[in-house]
Amino acid sequence: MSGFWSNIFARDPKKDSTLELLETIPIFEELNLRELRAVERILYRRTFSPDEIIFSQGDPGVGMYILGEGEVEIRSEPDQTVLTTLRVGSFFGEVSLLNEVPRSATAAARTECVLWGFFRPELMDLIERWPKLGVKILLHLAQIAGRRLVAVDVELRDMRTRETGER
Amino acid sequence: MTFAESTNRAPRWGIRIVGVGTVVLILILAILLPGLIALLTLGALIAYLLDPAVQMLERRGLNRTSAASIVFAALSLLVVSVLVVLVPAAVAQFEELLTMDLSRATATFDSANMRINGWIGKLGLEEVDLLDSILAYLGERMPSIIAVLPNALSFIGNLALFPFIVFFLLKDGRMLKKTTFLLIPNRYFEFSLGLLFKMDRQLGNYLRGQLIEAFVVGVLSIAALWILDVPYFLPVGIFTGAANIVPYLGPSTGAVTAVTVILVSGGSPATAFLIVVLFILIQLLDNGVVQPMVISRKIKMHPLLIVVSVVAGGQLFGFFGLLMAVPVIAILKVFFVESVQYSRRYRFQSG
Repeated sequence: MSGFWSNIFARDPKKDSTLELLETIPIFEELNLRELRAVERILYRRTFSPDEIIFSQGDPGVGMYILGEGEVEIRSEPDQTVLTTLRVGSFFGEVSLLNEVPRSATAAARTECVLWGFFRPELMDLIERWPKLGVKILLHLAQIAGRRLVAVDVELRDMRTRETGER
Repeated sequence: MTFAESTNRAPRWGIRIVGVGTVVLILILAILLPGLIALLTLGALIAYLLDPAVQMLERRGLNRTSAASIVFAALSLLVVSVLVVLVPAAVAQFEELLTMDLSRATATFDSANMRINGWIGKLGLEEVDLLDSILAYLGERMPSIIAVLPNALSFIGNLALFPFIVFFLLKDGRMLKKTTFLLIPNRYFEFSLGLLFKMDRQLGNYLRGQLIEAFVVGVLSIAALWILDVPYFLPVGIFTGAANIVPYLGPSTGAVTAVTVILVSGGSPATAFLIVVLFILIQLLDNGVVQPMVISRKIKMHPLLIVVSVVAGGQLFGFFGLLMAVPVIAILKVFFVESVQYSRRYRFQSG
């Protein structure tokens, strides 16, 4: 293709697809393009080979991961029970963005994986530099934490009902 | 093009080779060019200390480059004005201090010498000449001071490079951090990130606080000495501010210097007393008002550790080492304590 006709102004497709991926993550809902680009700039791209541990249960959590490529398994220690398998567009570990809590399960790459890491130091830095954007992200993080809490509460109630039914 | 196809992977061993290579290169450079590495470290430290100012401007909607440029320009202006206004005045006062009429001081020395020799005589030892032995000591030391000069000249040459280092580290520090972290293996990645974050939270405040404190104490001391009409108030005040970085020893060293200057230059003991009172007031103000405002978290260091590190710093690197000893020990302490404590909580599994 000649340089005259080819689209030399096209953005890097790799970058655009990262933005597309970010747009689908509930934490970054309502962010405009400029804000999404600011988030993209502070993400760390990490690659993992099959079976490689992303983090271990009990380790202090530093932040969350967004799955860009491949599959990730969430396992419960010590019996290695697979709790769930995550696919492209999933995110996990977001609780540790708010606070340094021990990881509640182990995450391991099932296949060759590309993960985008969003970590607490970068979030804190973002809040300092761009409070409006920081608040938007924090609000969504809180909403997700709340939703998870409701889900766990329902699960717990179901378990109790089953327990009393069995007796 | 799907997302999966769009991202090409660098082979894992390739990243490892680059990582190990970088570490080796830095070590070789540190051995071959210690001056340059020192300059880079100092530049990084200054950029790090100035980061909150850049962040403050970014919060107002400026991009990183403009924010860094403004902070850098403000710093340059400050440094230049200090160099233009303060330094010539301080140097003039220093010169005066060195060439002043020493007849009074010599008389004091002579009487002290006579008294000491009186005691020595009673003990049956050989008499000494205090002034002569001090001059002989200085004579021995002079050649080493001259030998240091060429080193100092190359340092000034490097100094021209210094503003560039500070500016680019200020502007691109965040990007550099991100690039450096690409080289860290997955297993240690979260640990390193968390460790750096913990260190930054403890040290950032502490180091910035120390600097602000030294500045405030320096300005107050200059003002106090100026009000009391103490000669050479500029160098003595600057010295007092700088010495304030050294805990325990610093504040009293400043007061002792000021009192010595006033007594040797023919001031009255009453003025000397007033200096001591004012310096105590400044210390109270520093401890009661300035410190609680600027230092949110203290780094605990044993007094013995402080004294030993200050003496070691002084012996190894002179006056500069004396001043830098405590901050350096604080950095090392936080690094070692945090890495040990934090690594205990990690399992470092590779899968």
